[in-house]
Amino acid sequence: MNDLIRKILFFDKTISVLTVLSLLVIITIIVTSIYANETKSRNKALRGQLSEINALASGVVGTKGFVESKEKKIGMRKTKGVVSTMQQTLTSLDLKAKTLKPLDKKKVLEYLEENAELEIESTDLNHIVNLLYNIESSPIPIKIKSTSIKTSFEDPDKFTLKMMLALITKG
Amino acid sequence: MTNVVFIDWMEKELNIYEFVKAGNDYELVDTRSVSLENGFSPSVLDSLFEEKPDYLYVSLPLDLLTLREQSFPFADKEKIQDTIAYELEGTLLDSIDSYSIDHVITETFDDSSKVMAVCLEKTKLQDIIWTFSSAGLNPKVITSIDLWLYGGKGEDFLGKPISDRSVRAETARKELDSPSINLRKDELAYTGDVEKFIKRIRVTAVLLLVLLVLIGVFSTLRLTSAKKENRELSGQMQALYRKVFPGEKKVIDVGRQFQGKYNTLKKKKEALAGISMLDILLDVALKNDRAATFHELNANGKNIIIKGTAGSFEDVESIKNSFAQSFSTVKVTDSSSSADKKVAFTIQMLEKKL
Repeated sequence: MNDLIRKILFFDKTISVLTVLSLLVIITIIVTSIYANETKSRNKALRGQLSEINALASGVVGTKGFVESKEKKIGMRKTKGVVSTMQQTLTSLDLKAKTLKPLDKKKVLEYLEENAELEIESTDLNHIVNLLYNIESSPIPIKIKSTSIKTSFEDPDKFTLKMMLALITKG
Repeated sequence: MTNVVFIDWMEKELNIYEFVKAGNDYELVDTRSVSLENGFSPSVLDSLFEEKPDYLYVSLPLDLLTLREQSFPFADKEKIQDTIAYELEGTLLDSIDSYSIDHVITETFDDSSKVMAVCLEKTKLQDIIWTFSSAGLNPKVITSIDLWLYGGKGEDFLGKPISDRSVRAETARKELDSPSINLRKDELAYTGDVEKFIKRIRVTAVLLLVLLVLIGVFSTLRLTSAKKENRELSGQMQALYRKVFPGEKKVIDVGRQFQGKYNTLKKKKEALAGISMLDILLDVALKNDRAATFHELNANGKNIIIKGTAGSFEDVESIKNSFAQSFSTVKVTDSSSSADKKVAFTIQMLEKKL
């Protein structure tokens, strides 16, 4: 029987050639299957990434627009400082600050925050809204870090406004 | 059903016994004779069969064989076969290598045996095989039923062969079960079964190869389609990335680069954006519906705290529910009724992040 197997495998050329060809095809099948499976799993991951990016894209565009507009404001002009900038704004609105004092400077990422504290007493809501609008739409990059609006004890139509502000410049 | 033919070659004629093998038994189905007056040639054999038999056994006449009686100090058949050639050295006309040799044990004693060595020149054997193969026949066994008929006793070999056909046919049937000798040995051995087997293996191998090629084609198509999809997805991702970040020139790993850029933008936005107090004020004013009076509003980028008074606890709950439409995690942290039957409350909430 061993002789027979030996004869078949080693001395029959047709069977030898067919065996070699079959082995080559098997190797090709194994290699292509492995490669196809890898590619399919890569595609699955890509599909996941694509749907994730698709979902994030509009938000990213909005965020990018916001950041670019702020950075444009930062780069546009040289500001005098947070106190004088705010003083100018208050004057233009006919408002007088009880307190307007500079605080510390702080580096955040590539920016420098110049902080200040503002307090205005006995002002009406209309003036407060005007001031907030001026700050938020100002070409000068000032951000409001915290706000406190309280009615005054004597007159419920009058308010005390306290704000922590920061002028942002390139750090 | 296997067709087995036994050709009994006698001096002047060929007796053909056709058997059918059913299970382990051979059944005699036909007997006929052909004259050899014109000699033994492929043309005689050509006309013998309409359909070639599955197996062919041939019995040679004794006058073609060379017989030698030998004694051995053992009775083991294999051992005798291994040593018989050396024992015959010098007793044959030619070198022992030019003979095909087999033997029949004629008598066995306790520790010895008498053996009849049956020899045939390889050239003669080759001629016989060639004659058969020229007629498309390939004998599986070449034996001599006369050895059976005479019981292997040397003194009877001089007599004439038994010509009773029924006796010879029965002896042939016994030879099919267990050939007494087979002169097809070594390089002249029968390889018909091997060839049939190889043929079957070849067919199987071809079919297997065809199947493998089909699987290979399927596998390659699967890979091609996966690669095509990969290219399309990569293209879509690149296009989307370039749409969001048009200035970007070097795009290697879209997923990772996009995530990196997105994280950087989020951090920058956190650093640049302050509290949008106007939006907060507008939301608070719109949701109030004059159910409450607010006295204080604090916002620090994380929490929004509103303090005020309402007509009842239900009004406080109603305000809280209204705020929940524009703010998140709205909760009443404090509420108490005062002397003027109004309810003082504190509501804490968070800005809704988009």
